[in-house]
Amino acid sequence: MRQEVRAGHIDGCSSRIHELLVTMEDDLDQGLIPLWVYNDAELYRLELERIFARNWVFVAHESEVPHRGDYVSRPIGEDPFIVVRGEDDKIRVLFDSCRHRGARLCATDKGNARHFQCPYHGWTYTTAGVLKGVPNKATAFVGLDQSQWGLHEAPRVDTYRGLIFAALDPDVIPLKEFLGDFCWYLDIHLGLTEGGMEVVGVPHRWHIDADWKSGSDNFAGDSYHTQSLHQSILHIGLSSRAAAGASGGKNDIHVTECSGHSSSIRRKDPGETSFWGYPPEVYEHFNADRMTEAQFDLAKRSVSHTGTVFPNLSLIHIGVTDNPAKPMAAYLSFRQWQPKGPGMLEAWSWVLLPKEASAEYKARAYKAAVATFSPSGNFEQDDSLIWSGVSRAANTVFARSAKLRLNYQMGMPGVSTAKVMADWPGPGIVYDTNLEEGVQRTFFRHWHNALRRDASV
Amino acid sequence: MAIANVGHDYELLVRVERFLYAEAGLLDNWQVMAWLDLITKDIDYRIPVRTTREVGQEEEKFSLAAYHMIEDFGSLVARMKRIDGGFAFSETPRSRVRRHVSNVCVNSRSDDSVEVSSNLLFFWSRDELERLVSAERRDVLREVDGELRLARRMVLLDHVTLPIPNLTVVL
Repeated sequence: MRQEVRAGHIDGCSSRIHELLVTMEDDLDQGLIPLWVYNDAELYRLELERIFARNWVFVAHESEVPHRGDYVSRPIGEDPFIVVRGEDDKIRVLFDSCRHRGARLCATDKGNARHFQCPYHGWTYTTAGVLKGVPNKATAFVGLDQSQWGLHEAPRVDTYRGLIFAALDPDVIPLKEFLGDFCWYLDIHLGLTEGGMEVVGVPHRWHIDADWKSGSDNFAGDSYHTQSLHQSILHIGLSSRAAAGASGGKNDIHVTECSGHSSSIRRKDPGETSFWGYPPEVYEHFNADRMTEAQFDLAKRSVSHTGTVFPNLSLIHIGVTDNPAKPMAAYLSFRQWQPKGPGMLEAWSWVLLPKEASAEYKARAYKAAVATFSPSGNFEQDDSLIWSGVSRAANTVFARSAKLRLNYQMGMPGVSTAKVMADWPGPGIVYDTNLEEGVQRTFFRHWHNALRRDASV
Repeated sequence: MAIANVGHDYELLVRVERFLYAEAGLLDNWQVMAWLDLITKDIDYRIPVRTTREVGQEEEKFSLAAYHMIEDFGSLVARMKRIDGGFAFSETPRSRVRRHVSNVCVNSRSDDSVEVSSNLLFFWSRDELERLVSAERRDVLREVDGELRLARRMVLLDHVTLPIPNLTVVL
């Protein structure tokens, strides 16, 4: 039942945004998503304010800043921050703006610094953000209490198994609670070995004329698209059918409503060993004592996983190849869909491999990763343009005036044969097939809840 | 004729330029399988990821670990077959592309190969989008049966963030 839309503006939103916040729940219950949400300037501002500034957002992996003074420049939404390991070994997320005139402190993407000096007037901050140097202080700023003028920083920073997250809302729920039940799945990707996963080099970055939500939506578990969009991969033999062929295999499952996060998982038969395609020399380091039996069993049977951690962090764990004459090699990739304006995103992609893997394996797996999921990835090349097409249609008068809505109904009762697995040993509402779209409805339900939080609708 | 026997630098430069222009022409016209005839079986093709680094740490600006492409002959054959196979939706229909090759320099030569640098301005257009990618290319061209062939290429991008949504073929 559609609620009556009240007249007037709420929280400074236009009536269209207001109507969205009111009607989205009913739409989602029917498996419908308004097309225009994929490209709208006003909605985009609201997303920056209510989603990116109020939730935990991934900023870096610990292996990117291993030593004191190591830093990387990273956005939270569109806001510029410096993720830096201080002299006290603590990781801080400093706002990249001098306290004096607001100028940019860090013009570089990565490095090792003893301090950050503003080129404008020379104010200098330690890697802990403390204001250490003020030129002409004895005369010009003799009364300045430097302790009050350190760099602003993200009020909350926390890590989970090497992933560094930051939140701009001091009242955000704890990270462990935010990741919630999805930790059960993250543990499988990140916790198999003593040394954990390490980032190879620096992330890929590339511009896509598409909404950031398209990336989150796809990796949340769009298992249905591979057989159509990615059929060329199978033709040339860069992936097995099991990993990325037609969906609907008997061992394919979808994890929905997992604390707002979701995942698509393809498995081998019970008892078989797959470990995504890592060779024995790598999976001999995987330690069953580091997780529950059910988690380790899932890792063992796993062929491929995709997933999205709300709002904009996705993962793929898969075994593929760059050359059909060479064996498949497994890798984990985290990817982040950085918002860059309405209908625009900057994709960032990190390749991660087990610390214990040999240098030879890492080189081989990195090549397989670049050949499949990167700006030149034979899979990923095809996705980006599809998403551009979505944002092109979304930003139309017709999409708004006719209230066009997209079909997200697969897996809903009466629409498909998907069933909830009553005996699934892990968290989330888990379906016995990947031919369902609850994974993506999960993302949009969480998105809607985040947008209307504290709003009077 | 072996490279060491080429008497005049200018003649060599003209040969090198002709090779690079012919190569660009094949790629611009999507003759991707024919392009494979211009490369050696031991080709090493890389596009390192660039980051902005501090003065003094600038030698690290082109990653030695992270690449947008890191290719050998087999992986390049796979890429070209995919594009040529009719199911690569990123190139169906083909993007409108043009490689502008300039500033060609023959930097050194040995018995059978030359080290060449050139600038590349790659125009890319698809749907309503139009973008430019700018780079320096450092190549090793090798004489094989009297013809120059590409044996090594390092593409040094002028971008930290690639301005195009995908890299479907080589630069």
